[in-house]
Amino acid sequence: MSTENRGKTYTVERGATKLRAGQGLGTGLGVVIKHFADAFTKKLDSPEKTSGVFTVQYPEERLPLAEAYRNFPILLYDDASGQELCTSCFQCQRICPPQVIHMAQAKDPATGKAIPAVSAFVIEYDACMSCGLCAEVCPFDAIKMDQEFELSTDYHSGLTVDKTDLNRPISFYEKLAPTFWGEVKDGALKKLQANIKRRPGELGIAPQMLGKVPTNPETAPLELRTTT
Amino acid sequence: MLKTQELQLNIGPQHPSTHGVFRLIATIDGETVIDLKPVFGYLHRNHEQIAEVSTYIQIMPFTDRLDYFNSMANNFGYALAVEKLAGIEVPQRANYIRVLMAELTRILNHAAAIGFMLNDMGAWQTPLAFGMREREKILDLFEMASGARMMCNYFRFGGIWRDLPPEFLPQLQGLMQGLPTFFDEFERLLKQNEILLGRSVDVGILPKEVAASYSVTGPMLRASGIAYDLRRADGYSVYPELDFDIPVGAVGDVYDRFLVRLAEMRESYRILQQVIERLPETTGGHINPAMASMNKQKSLRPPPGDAYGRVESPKGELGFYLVSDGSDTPYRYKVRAPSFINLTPLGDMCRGHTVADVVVILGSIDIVMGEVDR
Amino acid sequence: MASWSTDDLKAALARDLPGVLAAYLPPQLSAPAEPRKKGAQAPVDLLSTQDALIHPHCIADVARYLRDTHSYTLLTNLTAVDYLRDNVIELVYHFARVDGGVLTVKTRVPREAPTLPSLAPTWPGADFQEREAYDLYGVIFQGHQNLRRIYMWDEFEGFPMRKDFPKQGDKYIGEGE
Ligand code: SF4
Ligand code: SF4
Repeated sequence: MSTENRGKTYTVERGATKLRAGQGLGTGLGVVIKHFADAFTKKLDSPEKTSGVFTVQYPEERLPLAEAYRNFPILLYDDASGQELCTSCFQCQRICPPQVIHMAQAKDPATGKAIPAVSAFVIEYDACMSCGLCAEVCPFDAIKMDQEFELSTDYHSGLTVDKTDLNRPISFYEKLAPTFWGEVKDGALKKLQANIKRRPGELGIAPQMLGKVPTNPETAPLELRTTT
Repeated sequence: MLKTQELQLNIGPQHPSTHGVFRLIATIDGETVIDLKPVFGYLHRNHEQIAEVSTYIQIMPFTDRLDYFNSMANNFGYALAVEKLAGIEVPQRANYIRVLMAELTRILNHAAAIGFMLNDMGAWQTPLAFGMREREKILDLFEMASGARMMCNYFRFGGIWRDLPPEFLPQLQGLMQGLPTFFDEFERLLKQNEILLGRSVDVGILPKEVAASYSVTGPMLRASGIAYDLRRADGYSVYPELDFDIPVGAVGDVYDRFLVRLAEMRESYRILQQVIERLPETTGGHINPAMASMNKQKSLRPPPGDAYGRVESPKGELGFYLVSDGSDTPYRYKVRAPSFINLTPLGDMCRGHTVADVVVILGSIDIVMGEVDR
Repeated sequence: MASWSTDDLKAALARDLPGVLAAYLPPQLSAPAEPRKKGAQAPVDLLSTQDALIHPHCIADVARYLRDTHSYTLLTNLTAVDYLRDNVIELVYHFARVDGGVLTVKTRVPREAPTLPSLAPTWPGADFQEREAYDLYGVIFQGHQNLRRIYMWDEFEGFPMRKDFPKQGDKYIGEGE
């Protein structure tokens, strides 16, 4: 590898290490005074500016969040049918590095066989490290990263969040991350339609939507009653 | 002649100048330090053993927490080691974005490191605010690209998580316009300041040979006059295609460490310019197509063997030694943490100086306890 | 001088320091003592290596030879690996040169009596790393001035990174915790 011609080694210039008293202090204070003056007049709103006010008066003022911003995972359900996208495939549970996702797969009451729906889903927000791997691994795009960050509480157990509190409609996520959802939308909805057919009764419907949406027949067509 | 008595002084573990939960046992004679023993482990969580029971991709977010200032550099080192172990190629574009992130990390680390060092000298918060302001802008960019400001978890084996969003490059260009002003101002503010000179010139000298025998790396070693930079020595990623110089110090004191960091920020700026220029022409996607799906990432099983991958993190040589037994979790995972090893000569450097200097010397090493204790 | 490959290193060691290279003993793979990890196929011979393997008592000579004769001045990394099934602890040393190139030197000590000479007197940089290997693996480095625990507290019993250290339970925290 010819790396020699790509740059040299040079010794940093130390400059005068003995100065007339006050000389360097004056130069430095010049910088500070300039910034001090700017702090009353200018607002630092674009990245090329280096002086001005750059404190944001949170919570009155808020900076816009990037689309990719992730905080804690949420589960999605379909707005219209109330059906949850999650099929309880355990991928997210397996990949979660601190192991904070817990779930139970729904069973068909008639046959006792597992169906592609989740009956219980718990995430311990207090130990979640916001890595986003669960959202990345989910083959059904059912778990996504929320952008809500004001979750501080004095009630520790409240940070163990179950399915009802995790559920959000797809439209909510679409507003948060339009491009991200746009990339996976078609595939996710198609898979959901296929899964809905295999869910009997209320299984797989988001708890908060129960009663507002029609439920499936109590027994799904027999030929579809196979496990995932 | 007045007879004095030796005294043991405990600095830390909870002390604003110890950069985290870190304790120093100083034996002092009057104001002079005659012996100094660092004590740590307060943040020890056996990261290496957690890794032995995690799959390869699960370790990636844990590496963010090593040196939480430079999560991108940690990701880089770990990804490099796994790619070496499993023989995964990285496309050119992914490599350029990686270098882009690594150099931004270097600027933000050095800006903050100088600020914190000045904090330790008593210039409470003002220089730090200058550094932190630029750091914030860079963190905004990280958030845009990776979704998180500090715990980025952005690298994947064979590439990166996602390509840069469209609004990234315009904002980066804006930042690049402002950076030279920042460097100049920072230098005007500090370089010839009498207080900084008084506190740092000829303090904590680490001569060349001693530095080498202590295995210190990064800006500390370069300040002692040894031009050891893995970007040049190993030429990993696309660094061989980029022009940059290696600044070294002449004396090896705290002042030289400060100057080397200033100069390195400028060099990083040069690298960034070249990367931005070439980024549109780079070929290959953001990730190797063979590794693009999360399924491949999570079921990665490198062949049995070992690999040592290392990168030049802003704090020094960050190495990952991995042993695979062919399963999906590493058999052994070891982090060669730069700030841990850079701490070794602390006792020697402080001997003969005053207690106030100890704090400055520690600040000039630029440690992060998350990495020291692992 | 270009940086060395592993073969260069082995050739140089064989030439200049006869007797330091240890032969690799084929393992007895008959009875795997440890339950196999999920997904691992046949027991893998973890000990087979291409790297230079030396006798533990020669480590100081080899290190000095590499530094003084071939300017591998930086002892970059020092790490221990526990091979429970083969009943050895392997020490891996990485030596680096300022102008590029890193060499791996390995040596093996038995798990029951993991003792070898310390490099800390000549390479003060090995000080903390040897303490780390002692703390987590129980490797005794003879000649180390201050071989004390570095992460765990002094009274801690056992070596937490060893493969047979219990991963579950904590004797310092009661059952109720
Ligand atoms: S959230 Fe996704 S990955 Fe997790 S169980 Fe449901 S479908 Fe599977
Ligand atoms: S974001 Fe990471 S830590 Fe949190 S639940 Fe998902 S996988 Fe687990």
